[in-house]
Amino acid sequence: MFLYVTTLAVEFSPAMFEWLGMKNIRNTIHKLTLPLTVFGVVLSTLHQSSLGALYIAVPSKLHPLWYSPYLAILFFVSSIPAGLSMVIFEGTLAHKPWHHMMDKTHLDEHEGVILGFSRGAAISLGAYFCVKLVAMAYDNNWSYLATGWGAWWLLEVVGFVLVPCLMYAIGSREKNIPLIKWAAGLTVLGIILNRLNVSLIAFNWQLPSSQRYIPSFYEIMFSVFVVTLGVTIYRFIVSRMPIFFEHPDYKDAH
Amino acid sequence: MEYYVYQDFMLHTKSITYILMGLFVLGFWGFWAFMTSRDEEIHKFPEHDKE
Repeated sequence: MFLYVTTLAVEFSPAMFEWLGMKNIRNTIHKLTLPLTVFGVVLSTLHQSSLGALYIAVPSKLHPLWYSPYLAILFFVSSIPAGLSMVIFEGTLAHKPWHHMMDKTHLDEHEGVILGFSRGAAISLGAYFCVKLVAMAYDNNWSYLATGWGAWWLLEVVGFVLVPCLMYAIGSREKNIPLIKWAAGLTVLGIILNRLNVSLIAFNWQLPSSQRYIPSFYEIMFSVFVVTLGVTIYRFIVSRMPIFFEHPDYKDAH
Repeated sequence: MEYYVYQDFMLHTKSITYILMGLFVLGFWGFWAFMTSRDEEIHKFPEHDKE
């Protein structure tokens, strides 16, 4: 994880060095963009799947509908539409308050990026849905679908995977940007729900609720603090560094 | 369904999985056809089209 975050920081650093006026170091790191991107993609496959692989060790604790020997694959495949949807979602949120910072190229390419990402998200969500069903078929867990846990699983898989997948496909076909943005929001919620189901809700499902782990008030507030800190740092960066626009000293250098 | 040996279980679940995978391949073909049906055709070799 440390290696991955460091790679992301170095990948991002040319924008910071452009802002600071440090031309030599900016140009050196800019030449490393391609190997750094390859390294970042390889590392992200590892950290996303290893998060799922953590739960392979607890087959007796996790509900069979969420447990699978293929959890690592499920986590990795689901991280692809999650990433694409998060870019659409964050881009939508950023568009209004930071519109004045965006240059013509950014604004002109915005719609094309959303349409391209929506097609990618539709295919990857469809693939994730298929892998979910294959994992279920391999373990022969169909009988659990008729229980309350089954209803909850169906809500997650149909409501937050299949429905946004179809919304993305229709949005991409009709070039319907608002529909794509709604699909992105649903997908992000779905992935959060899936991670919560695996790590909290369907974890230790056989125990009475009094013995199960529920995050304390301070733990929740700490998570809120981390998100708030992220938003504050994001605001600091985009209001100063050339993120939504090209730095005047580096026109057409990207 | 009762399974007497592990082989029975594997045969049953693998059979269902293979049927599902076949359906997914057909489903993906339909899904792709639906999603791209309104795309404009890209003419990579316009000179060739004239002939």
